[in-house]
Amino acid sequence: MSTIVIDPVSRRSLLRKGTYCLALPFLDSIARAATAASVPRRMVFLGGGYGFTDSYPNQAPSFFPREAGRFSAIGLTKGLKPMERHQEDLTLVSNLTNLGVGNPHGGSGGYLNCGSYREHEAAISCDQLAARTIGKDARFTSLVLTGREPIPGQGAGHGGGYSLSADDRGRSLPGIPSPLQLYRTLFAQKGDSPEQLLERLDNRQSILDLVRIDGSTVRRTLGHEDAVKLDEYFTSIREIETSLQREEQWATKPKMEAPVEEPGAGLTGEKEIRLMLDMLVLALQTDMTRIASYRLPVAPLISSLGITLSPHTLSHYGSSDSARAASETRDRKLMELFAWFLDRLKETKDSEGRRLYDSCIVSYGSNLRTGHGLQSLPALLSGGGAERIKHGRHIVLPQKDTSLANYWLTLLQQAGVDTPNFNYSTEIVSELLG
Amino acid sequence: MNRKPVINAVAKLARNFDASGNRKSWRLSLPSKLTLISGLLLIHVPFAVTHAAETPAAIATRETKLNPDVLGRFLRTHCIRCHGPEEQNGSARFDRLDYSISDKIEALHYQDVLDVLNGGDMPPEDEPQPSNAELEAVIGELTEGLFEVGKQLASNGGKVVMRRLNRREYAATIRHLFGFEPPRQRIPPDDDVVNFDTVGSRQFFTTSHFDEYYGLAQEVLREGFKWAGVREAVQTRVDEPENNWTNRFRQDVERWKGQTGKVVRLSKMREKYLARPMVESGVYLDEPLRHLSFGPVVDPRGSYRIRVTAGVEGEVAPFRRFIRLNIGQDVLAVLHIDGTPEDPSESVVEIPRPALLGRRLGGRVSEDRTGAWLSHYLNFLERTGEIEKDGAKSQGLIWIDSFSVEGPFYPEERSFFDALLCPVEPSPETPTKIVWNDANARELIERFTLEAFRRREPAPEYIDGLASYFQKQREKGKPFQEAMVDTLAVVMASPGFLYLNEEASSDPDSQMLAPREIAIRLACFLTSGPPDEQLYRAVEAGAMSNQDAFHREVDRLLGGPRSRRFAAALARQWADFTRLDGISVSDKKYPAYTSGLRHSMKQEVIAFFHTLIEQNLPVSNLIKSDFATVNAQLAVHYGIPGVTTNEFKPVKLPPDSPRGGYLTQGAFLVAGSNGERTSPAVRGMLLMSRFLNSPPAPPPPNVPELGSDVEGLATNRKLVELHQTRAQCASCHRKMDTIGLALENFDLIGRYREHEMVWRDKVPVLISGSMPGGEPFNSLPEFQATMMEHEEDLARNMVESLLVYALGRDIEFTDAPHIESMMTELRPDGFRMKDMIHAVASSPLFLRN
Repeated sequence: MSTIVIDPVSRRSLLRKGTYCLALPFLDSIARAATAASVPRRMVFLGGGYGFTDSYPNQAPSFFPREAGRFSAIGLTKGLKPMERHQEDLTLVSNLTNLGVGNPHGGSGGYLNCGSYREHEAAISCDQLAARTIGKDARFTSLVLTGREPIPGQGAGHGGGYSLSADDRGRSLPGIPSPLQLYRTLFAQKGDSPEQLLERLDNRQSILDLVRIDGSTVRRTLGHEDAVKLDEYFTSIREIETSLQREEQWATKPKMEAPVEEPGAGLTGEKEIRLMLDMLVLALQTDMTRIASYRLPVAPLISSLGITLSPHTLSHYGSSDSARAASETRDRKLMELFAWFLDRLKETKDSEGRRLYDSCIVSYGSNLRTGHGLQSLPALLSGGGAERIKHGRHIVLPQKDTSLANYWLTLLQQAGVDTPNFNYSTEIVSELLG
Repeated sequence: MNRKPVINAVAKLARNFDASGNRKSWRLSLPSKLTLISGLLLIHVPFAVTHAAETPAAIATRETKLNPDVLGRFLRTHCIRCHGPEEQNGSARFDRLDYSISDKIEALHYQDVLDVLNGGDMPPEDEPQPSNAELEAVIGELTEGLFEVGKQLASNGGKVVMRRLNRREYAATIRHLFGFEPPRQRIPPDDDVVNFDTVGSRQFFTTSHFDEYYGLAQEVLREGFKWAGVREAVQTRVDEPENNWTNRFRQDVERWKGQTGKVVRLSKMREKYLARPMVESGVYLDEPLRHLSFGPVVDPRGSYRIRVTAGVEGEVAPFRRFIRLNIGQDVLAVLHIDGTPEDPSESVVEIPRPALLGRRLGGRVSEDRTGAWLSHYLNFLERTGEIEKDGAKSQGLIWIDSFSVEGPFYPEERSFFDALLCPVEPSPETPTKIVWNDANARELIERFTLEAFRRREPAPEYIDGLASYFQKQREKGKPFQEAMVDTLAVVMASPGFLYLNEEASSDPDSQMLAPREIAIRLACFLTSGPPDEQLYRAVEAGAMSNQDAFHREVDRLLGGPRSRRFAAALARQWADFTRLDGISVSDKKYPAYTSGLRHSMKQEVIAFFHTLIEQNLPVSNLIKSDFATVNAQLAVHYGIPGVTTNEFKPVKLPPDSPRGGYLTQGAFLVAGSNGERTSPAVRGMLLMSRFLNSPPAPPPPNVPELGSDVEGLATNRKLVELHQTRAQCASCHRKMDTIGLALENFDLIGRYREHEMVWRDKVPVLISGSMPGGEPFNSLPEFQATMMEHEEDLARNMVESLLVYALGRDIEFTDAPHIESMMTELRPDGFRMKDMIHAVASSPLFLRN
């Protein structure tokens, strides 16, 4: 045993802080947030997958601007160009790093919960934390959306997990994977009368009771490690029960009638993303939910742009000029979609007649900056929901590798979630405010 | 200096030991520091950890020692002035190290050092910089040392963790119970497969899994009820496609007569088509007819024969004589077209039971080509020099006379569910009846549950609960069948069905599995599914504790119609078909790389493994064999003369052929590319992982992309050398790339070449390099001969792969003595494949919990 670090407190205490903060359920904050929230705040987290194209040292910047300052002064890079009409409503933060993630192919895994360095210390994602507080009065405390990838695993740049969100044990939450399923979730379906619904819920409860009996039989024969594995099963059963109870409470309040026809099942890529975002705007507008995360599909978007490279090959855009051009095309398309989503938020009015945009905090990003680099990740921010955040600039934080958790903490607090820290956070990102 | 290594330290800490990260091997349930310190066992690790043969009990923990010469010199020269006794910038000091790592915290400290070196953050720019050679040595030492530490710290003592059925096993289990399979995409996917899909510690179970399993079970059960007591007569349905298409094109031309606009072009295209000579007796795969669709109604429990009668009109390049049969996106078969329209040839392909819920088998027949339009394809072929511009060979077309589907051909035994519902055997003339009703429903539930639970007795209260759930559904007015489907679906979403868990032997002192559990493990290993009736009976007869009987069962399960299934499951994972599928090859640059060709490449590997197992050949055949398992398409692609069959059968190779062995197979060579050019790095990485059994450490994050200043203007060898000018890359890549370059005689899509194109120049491929151990080679045959000397590494890799696959857990250092004894047993006969499977199945590792 020998030591490199002579002051172990500095490192260990950081971790411990994170751990303690997880152990405390945010009971106080939940109570206060509910009373203070006269104006509903909304939070939307978009992103995932590989990052954006980096620049050659002696050429014009591709996506990331080199200087800090107001966009009106430093101008927009070609990658950010599609955001031009929103440039006064856009913030880009440099020097944030997701300290809990080390997977050079994992843009999405652990993104919103800042990963973990030990499995049992993995934590809830920031959107789910917000869902428990500012989201709890809506029909859906949150919407977790995700895009399907044709080839699972590392290829798409997500790096494991089902969505950007994680439950309070840090396990990735399954997301709603298609426009069709989102449609069926949000809008009234045939056979949705309160009686039918209650009966279905009752049936499901009986099924859960049954599988639990078998589970305990199996469990009796197991050693400790296997029992842990089976616990996953039991936990999911309990989670389904919790959601059943919630559905029961809402069973008498009918869902909204669908304003449009059911979308086709085979939509992918750009169309799929637009449709998902469109329905999300509607869900926010009608207060069906106040919190959403969306892991954008990577491979389907790329192929819908006519690019034949796989996502991973595209992330090595340094291999040829044509690959770099394709990578930049993808960047622009993502920014077009982001700009279009902001358009929709700005033109949509909420129930009080205000722009939906004004009550939203919208974040876009990934763990990966570019290629396989995890340092200084892309962090784009918009929305008028955080009054103290003044948009229109590129902020370069003085501290390299500032914890992404600090950023999420800042956004959570600005949205009215009363929490002193979040996972590995050390402090808020004060540069964002004022 | 504004860097703060402490903050960085947290970053790394979290990063490299991240539970969801890429470096799975770092994931661990860490024993406490105290238990680690008690009984320290020092093992010096100069570069790689030695796998000494120790008894498992002796290895409570071990310490990994880094090379103090390499590391110490570097730290003294470059680091200690600021991180030493006088200054401790960033709270770090390096003057009191013993260069040994025994726990995670220590590993993390060293990881910090590695990460700042990889990121180029240290030493600071205004300080003297280390030479590339120094940096390369120290990064190499740290990378490999930490990679080993990660593996060791990840140990859980060799315990097989209970796991859920993976996709493959779920499908095989459904087939065992019902006689048909659901489509693969409908089964919840396997999470994060790193090496083999059986490794349980990487699985998850979420709320959506429960819903998906329950919903899928309902569909499967409905399908099961539908087919119970039904048996169809064999029929042949013939499709003469011209009846449909030729008339339709005539009508189009008629309809569009005199019109203007877009239809003029479409009409002309049809007129040109109709002017071809044989449109009355068949169809041409030419615009506007790109493919034929077929959608026969089938019984998913039976196999079918598809027969295509076709010919090629005119002259075509040899690789254009192939048609492809698709079902959805999946390629079913690639068929060689021998004949002409005047004298068409007939090709038959057997579809084993289609994975299908429902009755319609939707598919397509098309020329096996790339490009949306035939004209694009021909254009790309001309531009890349595959065919001559406007040559005679560009004019030929495939002509299809007829297309037929014959079946169903049922397996000998009826499925469990069919026989349970309708015990009387049906015939095509007389279907039989379901013998169950409300009065005896409980017995049906009980018997189904017992089989679904792999004959483990369910708890009586569970059966009671199911029976009353069924009754409740009936009282609500559900028909018998529907109520039963909903009830039995509960069984198929219960842990007893979904999880493979093993009860220990009833003797608490014995670590041996109970005989039935061994049988389940064995059946899963060799057939992907639950034991069959014969194996259950063999268990009763004591076969699990009788050596001869046990080996007879292994042979039986490995043989027969199921043998290909085992070869396929092993081959597709050992050879990592997922990597191959993830490579997108540009159809403009490589128009000959069709989806049919990719399918054939995979089948070649599976057939190769099948041959090795069936004929019990030495594993070294993977390096070089005197035969190849190719069909007509691959024979054309590889330049092997005289193969016209559509099946993948062993073909003797001429002695001077560069082919033979997995190293020269398309599936390996394409996987070893980045889709634009061959990748010596990836080929080298695959060679090191599988053939030298020494996988390089995964790439570190934050290494900047290389620029493309030299794109297209340098040989691959030159590009690799450029890559190695960066010390962060060279520390691992020098070894990988050098052996990867030994295969430069094969282009991206696996064709043999002696020249590569650099811009417009033909440059001879130079093969020259040395193995990581230093043995030089100067040609492909020399390289293969050198690899043959490492046969033992490959054999060890195969034994370990089989173990991971069979046990569903990663190899741990406590396994070393067992692996060693298997190696000793296999060595005299040259490490034969089937012997290996027997050795694994009868190893204590397999028979113990």
